Amino acid sequence: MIQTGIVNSHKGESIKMKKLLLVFLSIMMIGVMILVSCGEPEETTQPTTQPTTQPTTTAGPVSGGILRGVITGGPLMMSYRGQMGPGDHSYMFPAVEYLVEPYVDEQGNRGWIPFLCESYAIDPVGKTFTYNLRDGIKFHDGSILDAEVVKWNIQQQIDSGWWQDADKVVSIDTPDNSTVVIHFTEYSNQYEFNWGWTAIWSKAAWEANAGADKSTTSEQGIAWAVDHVVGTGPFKLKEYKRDVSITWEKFDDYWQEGKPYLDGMEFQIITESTTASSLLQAGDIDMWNQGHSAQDWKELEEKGFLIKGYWPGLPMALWGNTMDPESKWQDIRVREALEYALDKETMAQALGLGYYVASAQIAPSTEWGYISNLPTRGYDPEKARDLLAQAGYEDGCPVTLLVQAVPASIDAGESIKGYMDAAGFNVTLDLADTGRFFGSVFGTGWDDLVMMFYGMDVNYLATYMSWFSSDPKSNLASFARPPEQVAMDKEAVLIADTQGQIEMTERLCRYLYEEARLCPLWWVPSKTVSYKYVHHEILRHGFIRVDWENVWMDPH
Amino acid sequence: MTAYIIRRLIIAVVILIIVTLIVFFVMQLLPGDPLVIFLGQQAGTGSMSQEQLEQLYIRYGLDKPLIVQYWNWISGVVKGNMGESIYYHENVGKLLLERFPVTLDLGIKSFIIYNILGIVMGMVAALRRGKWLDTFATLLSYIGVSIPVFWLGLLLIYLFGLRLDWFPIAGYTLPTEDLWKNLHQSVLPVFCLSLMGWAVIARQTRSSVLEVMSQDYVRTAWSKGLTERKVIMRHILKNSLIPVITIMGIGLGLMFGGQVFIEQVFAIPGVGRLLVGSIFAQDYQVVQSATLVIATIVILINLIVDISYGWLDPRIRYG
Repeated sequence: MIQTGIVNSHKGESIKMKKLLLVFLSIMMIGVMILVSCGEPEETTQPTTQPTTQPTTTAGPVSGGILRGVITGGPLMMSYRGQMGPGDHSYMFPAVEYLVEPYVDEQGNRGWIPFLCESYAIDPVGKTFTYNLRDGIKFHDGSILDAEVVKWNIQQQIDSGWWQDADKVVSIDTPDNSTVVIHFTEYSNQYEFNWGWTAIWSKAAWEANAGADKSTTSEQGIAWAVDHVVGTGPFKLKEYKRDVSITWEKFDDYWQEGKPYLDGMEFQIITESTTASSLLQAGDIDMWNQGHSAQDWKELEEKGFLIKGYWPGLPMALWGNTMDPESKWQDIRVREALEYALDKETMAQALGLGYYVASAQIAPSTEWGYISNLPTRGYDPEKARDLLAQAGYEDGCPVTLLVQAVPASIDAGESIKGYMDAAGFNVTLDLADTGRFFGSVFGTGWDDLVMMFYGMDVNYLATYMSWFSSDPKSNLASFARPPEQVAMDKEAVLIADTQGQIEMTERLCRYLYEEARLCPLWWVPSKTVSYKYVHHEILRHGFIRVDWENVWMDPH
Repeated sequence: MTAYIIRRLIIAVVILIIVTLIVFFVMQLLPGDPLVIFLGQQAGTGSMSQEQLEQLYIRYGLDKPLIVQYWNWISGVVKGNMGESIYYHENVGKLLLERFPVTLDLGIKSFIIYNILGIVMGMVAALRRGKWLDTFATLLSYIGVSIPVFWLGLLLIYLFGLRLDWFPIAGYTLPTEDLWKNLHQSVLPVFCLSLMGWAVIARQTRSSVLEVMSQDYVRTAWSKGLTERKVIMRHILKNSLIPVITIMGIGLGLMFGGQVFIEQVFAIPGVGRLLVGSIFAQDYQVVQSATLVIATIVILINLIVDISYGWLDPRIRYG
């Protein structure tokens, strides 16, 4: 009887417990439903959380205001070229300017323009590169930009080992205060990029902080340059909190009269995209500069935010290991089979939600190197199977595809695997963290196949030279350049006239495509997300120039 | 007691040496090379000559045999120099000094909150065993241990940051800079950090109190006619705390490495973020030194926890 009583008592407790659990779960469910229903209206309407989405539209640029944005990282080195990567340069664009900068007009025509110099001239016959500097340009520390300062900057970049083609420099002269002449041994049409696009920092600031050793590679100077930057740009560094924020203030003595329009800029460093998106929607920031995906663009565009981008963006491609003589990718039939295996249009549409553009050839249609009548390899899995069979892979071709372990790349990797497997490959995905991925791509090389982007430079000959040529700026370690390509590269850099460069770029791109040296996939556009009161064209000139001085905001 | 503490300190030094050996050599076993990874992420190896790369190896001491590298690091640490980060181009000591106060600030706040709440709730649940309070506390503790903090953080951001605009969505300010802002910014991350600790402490306290309540000395205390307050505070609570304090010690240790998700979601520049970033970059100096500092703290906390047992339970003797 006692035992039965205990059992009944436990049963009673158990029933009570279940009831309470049900009540609790019901409350939770109702709470979640309320939460979800609260979120509904924002799906299709303008953001209502802040009135700032309805700006007072003005006719032209308005001065004033602090732009608040989000970036995904900060500079690891601010002003010593020898330890700066592309990311560091891009974070420093508000403060640092270049002798020659890229320019894209409203019709999309592009080229180089003199920036800190009034003009420049390259003489292939006399073998000189002459910069004629602008007068009256001041650095943030009040020192003046003159020929000696530019010479010092060039020398520092040569000394640091990061000035491409430095071995071609014979001497640097300064015939007067505003002229710098580089004498070289051999002409190259890449000098505008390699030597013109040269960042200029204050020599006076370096020497004041370099300690006893005033040399261009002073250890103390390099340590100072980690978190200090003194340039000629429209904004001065106000504060940098590593991994937290970077704050800029207007440089009152900026050389372009009336600019910059903004009083300052504050960028928070946030890697989590949901957090960044929430900050934007809450009105805590005006612009989300980096770290967003196609999904974010779609959602935020539907909510009325401004999604803006100019260039085709980063082209994605598959690169076989062509360095290893034993690699299957030495066989053009396998390389071609890869092209036929992929339905790029469908993949680009699905993965990019309408924002990605499938690429049938190396260069996009707006660029040098695009060949309008090029017979491309469309989606044809049967042909892929045939080619694999001819190459000796009747029973499947095993492939290890190296993919960076970030959501967009993982999705793309899964999609590629699906198509390749269906066409006779047998793909194993190798998801690598960022360090291992880039360490393999640029350092030790990849074993089999990798999905990796390539760049977009001012013109496509520069892009080719930076990424595909035998003397690249960014060297993909397992991408081979056969002797016939090396010979074409040498010929290409010697061409001085524009029409000749265009024709050569077409030849080079045709070669890469016909030989299937890589398999272009799609272009991932580079975009910014902001409120509509922010007026900017910061991606118009590509990745190596951001014209922060021209950004302005409507009163809001 | 003094002999016990000295013996424990000697063991602690031995453990620390073992920790440094493991961390150092495990980092070396990872595939890849920190300089190549760094340069790779900078997408610039194409423009750096082999000679210049070798100069960097010399600069960071990576050209030397492993045992020499280990000795250089350890001897540097003993002299107070933790080396230079390859990735950040910064002194590791300075990097850690930037990050530890942030992690400590959030960690201590959540530690205090989850322990007080957890002990109170565990006590109440045990004393009201089988009643609705017990059921409610048990349910909450299940939720607390099972909810992923990353997801919870995003949910809180959406609800309290974006929809209700009660708290900042992201960011961190040191209390020494602006106390009010710091407290305001801390609410959501500290809540996330506290939830699991609170649930674990509550569950442990409940079961521990239930066990103590059935002990003879508690029955004796009741039989002496002591008030409920005295029985609970003097006889039940104090004796229930030994296993709870063990968990507290573990929690303090986890504080340093366990905040990485919260730091990521709320954009907080703490040790966890530094450590994870450095592991991916194979930034040896940072990983080794941060691990050494954390290991030292964990060992010291465990020592303090062990010593506290004697105060809580006089029957415990240190041999």
